[in-house]
Amino acid sequence: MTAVINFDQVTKVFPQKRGAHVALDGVSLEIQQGEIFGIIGYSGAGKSTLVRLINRLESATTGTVSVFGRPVRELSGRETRALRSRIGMIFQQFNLFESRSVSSNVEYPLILAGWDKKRRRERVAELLDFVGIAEKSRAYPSELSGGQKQRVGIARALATKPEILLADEATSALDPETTSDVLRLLERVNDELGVTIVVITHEMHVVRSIADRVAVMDAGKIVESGMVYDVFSSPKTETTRRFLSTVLTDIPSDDVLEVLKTRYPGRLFILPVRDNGETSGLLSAAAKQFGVAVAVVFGGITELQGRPFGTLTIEVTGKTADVEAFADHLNVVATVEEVVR
Amino acid sequence: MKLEFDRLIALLVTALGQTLYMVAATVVIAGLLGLVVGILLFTTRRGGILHNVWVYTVLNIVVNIVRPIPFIILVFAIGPVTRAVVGTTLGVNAAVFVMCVAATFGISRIVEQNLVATDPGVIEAAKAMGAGPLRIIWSVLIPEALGPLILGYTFVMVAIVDMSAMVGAIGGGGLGSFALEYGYQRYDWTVTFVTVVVIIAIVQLAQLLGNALSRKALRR
Repeated sequence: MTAVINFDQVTKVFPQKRGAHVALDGVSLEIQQGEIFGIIGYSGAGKSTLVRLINRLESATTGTVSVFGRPVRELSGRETRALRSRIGMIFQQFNLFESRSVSSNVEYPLILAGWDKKRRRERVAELLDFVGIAEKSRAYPSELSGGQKQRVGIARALATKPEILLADEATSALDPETTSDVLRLLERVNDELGVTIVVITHEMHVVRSIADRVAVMDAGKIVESGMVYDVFSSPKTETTRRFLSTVLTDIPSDDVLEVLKTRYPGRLFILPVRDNGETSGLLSAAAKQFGVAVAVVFGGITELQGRPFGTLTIEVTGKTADVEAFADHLNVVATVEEVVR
Repeated sequence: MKLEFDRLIALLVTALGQTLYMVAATVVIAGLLGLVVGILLFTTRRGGILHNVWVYTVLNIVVNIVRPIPFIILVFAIGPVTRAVVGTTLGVNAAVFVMCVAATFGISRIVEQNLVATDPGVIEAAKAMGAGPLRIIWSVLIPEALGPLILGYTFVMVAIVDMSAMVGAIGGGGLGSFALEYGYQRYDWTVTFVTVVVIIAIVQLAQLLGNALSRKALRR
């Protein structure tokens, strides 16, 4: 694996009328060739600024951003434009040229890159076919739905066969069904064309469905990063936990806990379910080893990056001593939270 | 009486020709100059693709000085300049020069306003694809703003017809002179009335044409 994008202690400050706005505050990260890297954060966290440093739509105030092994700061105007033709970009609002037809939009970067007319026409046909919108080639953007517009955006961004694709909130303006279509398309771009994708989003399900690795941003800093499964399964910051709660509904909220407490008189425990089989082992041991009864009262198990993932809330009933022994055992072998009554 | 009528019609046709010439020449010359100045105003402002504080400040001040001067006063005020450039302050060409000066600055603001209204995201997309500033101006900015630009130019054209009538007062020729000399000064209301109808017809035609073109550009 080689890093195609490298941030080393990057800071970006926007001067303002009074004082200054620190959009990025000492960010270091590495994005590997061929991966889908998610950057998640609330609006204003600095993620849009971060992605714009990669193709030099913005310049770092301090620190070094390197792309394809070269610090972008060293590039001349011509070299910057050459770099940009190796990096595609798609946008939340699609940013299609309203005055141009679909095929003319896709053709535009090819004209910039100096392709001749015949090759341009072939490439446009090929791209529209790839994104599944060939029948709309003569239409104008105003005649397209949001999902179709983003497909055109993707085709246009891929025209010059870039090695990197930057997706800036690319699905945030789309409905859920269209979002998953576009995400599937991005996966194909990654799988079939080997394009490294940087996905900027405030939606956890986007990261969950396509990213290999993720960085969580808050107030200009990366507060957590790593493999999606690892970050999801052991969140270390409050920001990450808040994002997780938007996609994981298996952890009972305070209201639900109140209901559970009145309905189930036994002791309640919340157990994480991971792919190490720990939880199922505990549950099967419960009856056999400790003679207690276990009932699942809340929770769910889903799949994350092809591995089981979830949380169960269980009620344990039995003789007080047996339940006590089981509770001790639980705490020793797993990260378990007991519901306080 | 019959002879007088024929003579007036001939004069009206000549005046109409002069007006059309003045308007057309001004629309073309001031249209291009105003487009350039307007584009510079938009692109050199803070955050623009040709960001340049000095160019922007100077242009902005010049436009703000020239534009508020009432046209009829501008005509006299730049008389020496007109004489230096055209060789005279009378006649159709002198009128075209003065009208160009006034219209260029008016058009530049209209162009600037319409460009400001274009989606900055589209400019960013073009930049991200590796387009340079000049390329963005002619292949993105102008096409994207074309519909509103045509409407803006149509609006200006009506103002230019108005100016062309006004220069008639100072010997510029055209329909303005005609209405003054043969209508107003000879108390012939019919002549004045007919001239007004002709001017209205020109304006209506210009507006219809502008609307049709902009609709085509906007594809609505």
